Amino acid sequence: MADNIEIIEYLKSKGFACQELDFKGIKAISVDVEIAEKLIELIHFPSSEIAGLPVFLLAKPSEIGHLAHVLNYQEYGHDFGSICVNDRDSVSVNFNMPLLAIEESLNRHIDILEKAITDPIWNRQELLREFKSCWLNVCDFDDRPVLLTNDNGAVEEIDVFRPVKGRKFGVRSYYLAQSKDTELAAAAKIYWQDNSDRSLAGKAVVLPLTEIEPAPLNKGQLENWYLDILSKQKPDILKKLNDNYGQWKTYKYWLFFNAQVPSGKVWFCLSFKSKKGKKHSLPLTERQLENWNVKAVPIRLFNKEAILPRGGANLDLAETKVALVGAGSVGSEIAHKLSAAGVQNLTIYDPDRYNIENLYRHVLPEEFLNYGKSGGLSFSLKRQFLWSKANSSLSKLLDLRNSKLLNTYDLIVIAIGSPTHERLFKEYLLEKDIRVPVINTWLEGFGVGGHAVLDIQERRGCLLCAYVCPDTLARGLGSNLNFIEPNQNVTINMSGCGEQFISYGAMCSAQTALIASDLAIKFLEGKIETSSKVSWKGCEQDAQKHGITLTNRYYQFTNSLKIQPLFHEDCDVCN
Amino acid sequence: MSIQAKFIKFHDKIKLSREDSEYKDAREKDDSILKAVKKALKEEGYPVVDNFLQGSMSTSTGIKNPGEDFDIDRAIVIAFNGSPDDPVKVKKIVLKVLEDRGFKNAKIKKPCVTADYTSKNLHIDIPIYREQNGDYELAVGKKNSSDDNREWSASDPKGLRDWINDSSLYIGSANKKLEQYKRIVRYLKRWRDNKFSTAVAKKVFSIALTVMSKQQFRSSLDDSEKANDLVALRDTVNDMLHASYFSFQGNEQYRVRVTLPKSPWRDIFDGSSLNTGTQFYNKLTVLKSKLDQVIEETDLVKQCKILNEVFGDDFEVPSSSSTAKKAAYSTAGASGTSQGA
Ligand SMILES: [Zn+2]
Repeated sequence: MADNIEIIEYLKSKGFACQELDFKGIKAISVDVEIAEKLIELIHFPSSEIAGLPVFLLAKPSEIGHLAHVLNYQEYGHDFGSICVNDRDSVSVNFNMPLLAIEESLNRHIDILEKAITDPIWNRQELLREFKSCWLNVCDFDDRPVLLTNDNGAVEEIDVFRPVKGRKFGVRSYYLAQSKDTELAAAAKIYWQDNSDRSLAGKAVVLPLTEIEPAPLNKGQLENWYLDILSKQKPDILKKLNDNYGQWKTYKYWLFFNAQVPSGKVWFCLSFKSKKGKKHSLPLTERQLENWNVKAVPIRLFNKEAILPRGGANLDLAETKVALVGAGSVGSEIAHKLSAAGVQNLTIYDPDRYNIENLYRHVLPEEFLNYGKSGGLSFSLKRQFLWSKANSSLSKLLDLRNSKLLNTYDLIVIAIGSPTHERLFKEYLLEKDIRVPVINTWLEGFGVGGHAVLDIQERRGCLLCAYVCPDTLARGLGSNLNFIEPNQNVTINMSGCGEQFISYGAMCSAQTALIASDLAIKFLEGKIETSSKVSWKGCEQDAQKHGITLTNRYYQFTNSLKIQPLFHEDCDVCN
Repeated sequence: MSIQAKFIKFHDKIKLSREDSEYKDAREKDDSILKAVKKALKEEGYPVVDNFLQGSMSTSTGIKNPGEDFDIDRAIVIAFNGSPDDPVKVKKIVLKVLEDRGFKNAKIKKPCVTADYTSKNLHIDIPIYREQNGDYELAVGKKNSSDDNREWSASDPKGLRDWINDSSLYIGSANKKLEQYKRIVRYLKRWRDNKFSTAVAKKVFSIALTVMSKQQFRSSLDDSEKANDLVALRDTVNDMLHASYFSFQGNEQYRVRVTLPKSPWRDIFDGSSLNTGTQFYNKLTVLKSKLDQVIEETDLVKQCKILNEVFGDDFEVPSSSSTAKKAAYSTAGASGTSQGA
């Protein structure tokens, strides 16, 4: 590591004015920079190792005003401004040449400050954009966070409940405020709203702001900032607030603000606690405020628009209806991935009960043993994916041969690993001319791979294309996508008849579920318009160990995860 | 419909296997002759210790040929111990069995005893071996050969058969590749019978086509495991031309030389004429370029027209390219798959 003298000499040689400083025994380096005729001092505390972009702090930040990308904090009894230079973690730093790293970082710090100081319009826009992180800088974290469920942000008065006593984790450790008309899954609502152990803490009002200002620089500015913001709102909002809400007298009030900033809709919260243990209504004027202590507190918002896209889910899939047939190791993973992608209307079909043998290659925990796999799965999906409306049925694939039912779905995903039933079902669809898109997916034993085919009836290519017999070019019995040659004994028998199973691990079922889910989601999002197939290829060691021989396709296959056309020129249905 | 479907149809038409109904008579004759030969040899003190099929019937590379005889290559093996020094002695016993059963033109040829069953279109070859510890010796010599031309000559008939049937070097779908190879042998035999005069065709030996295409075989399966016989045949023929079987003799003439891959490692074309070598080379070159043409061509009817000209009328030419396909079902009752979920 370079020592301070080296750094100072180096920076001086690059034209910077710098010197060594002493903060109560800690040596630091100060660099003076002039920006728009303002003298700015940057402080660098050398570290023993360069593991990230070297940090320069802004000295006496309050003298410079409210700058975007600068957050104030105290250290060694001094105020410092922490300057946000990009995403520090995403920068790869040359730790072998520390002087170069320090110089590069210093220049980046100066560029940010220069922009913020010389371009006030940009500065304000940026302050609004980063409203949320600025707000967190003035928040108090001594209390439990508030969890708010709200879809639209309209003015509303809501009861706020205390956390369940003794709970440190999960939703029950939060204050809970639930708006009346949210679309949360029934399972989540019931589970959370378990108010038996919660007591009423006070009232909250949701307040949509029509005008917004950058967040206050420090906690001392909170009250003035609040009054200033109120004064800038459209009069009718304040009147509505005054007339209809906040009349309730209580010891504690929360205001849940929402406002549009350049980065989207931002939610933040002020909490008001009565000063003298007396009940008061919501303070809207300077005088009323005298009765209250004001704090900014963090809130967690459960809101479809906020949470789904943040998790990569697609709101457009909310209305899509999908049937998943098979809730085994592959099916359960598909259910999880489809729900995570935003599919809310998922019907899961499976007649099986959850067994102890299933535990290691299934997503359900032990509590669901003996439960129907489909029922257990839909329940757990609704717990994790709060807007999921998953439901379940014990019907089998062949029970679904009902055109009225099938025509209600946008997509059917079949993950049962039964070529006989799957072909029977396909012939039913052909016979009745039912044009619902279907994905069939299956894996093969010994980790050699898995497959998924998307059959869009209007398009060339169908399930039977994947079953054209390679030798006779007639309808075959096994898929021509398979990596394991037909008519070999691929099952392992541990304890007699009825106990045979195909050997594969959870990785294989998860990987297979991924290609099937990817196909499903891309199709539902309109990114795939032709009947398609996709496979993933694993390794052959386990198969070889069991004397299982593989197909030419396996050895030639280089298109793992790639979506390819399904059409086969010898398929009788497609020709 | 794909060109491969046409190849499969063509192959179904030309293939001859021991299970075919056309072959039923021959099979029955084979069984009864074998019985009689065994009995006669046992009575003479040379008990038969083994017998097996040799030739195209043992490797599933036989083809039908209208107007030609069905062949039976039935190898007879006697024990080494107690076998006569004179191999012709055993051959004469077999000859007598055939003559006694009414074969008019039964005769002892150098490598075997042969006879024709004229009314049945049946041609029988019976090579005789003696065996010790898995080593075989062929009874060589004609009825009136001098002693110098009579010998028990080292041979490896089973080794050759197993070499042709071997698929252990094919990686992935080995059986499919072996079957494709055998179809290619049949295509080449039919091409030979269609493109050469009868006299020359007889000298372009089946065993030579079998060995050359085995050594140069290039399989072709597509991503659905479907064979592409057209490409496999073209690639194999191309490699046959460029391997060292044909040597240029000047004056646009070629000599062909193919060594048997098993004992006695002889040149299959030993004593073959320049005319045979030259015709073989030239016609194989034309075949290759015709196959290239078919691969280039996209219209199914035009493809089939060229192939019809190469292979004869058993390669059908459809009336149009877009014949609607009827649902055809698997002929297997069930097939084991590795599919699960
Ligand atoms: Zn099809």
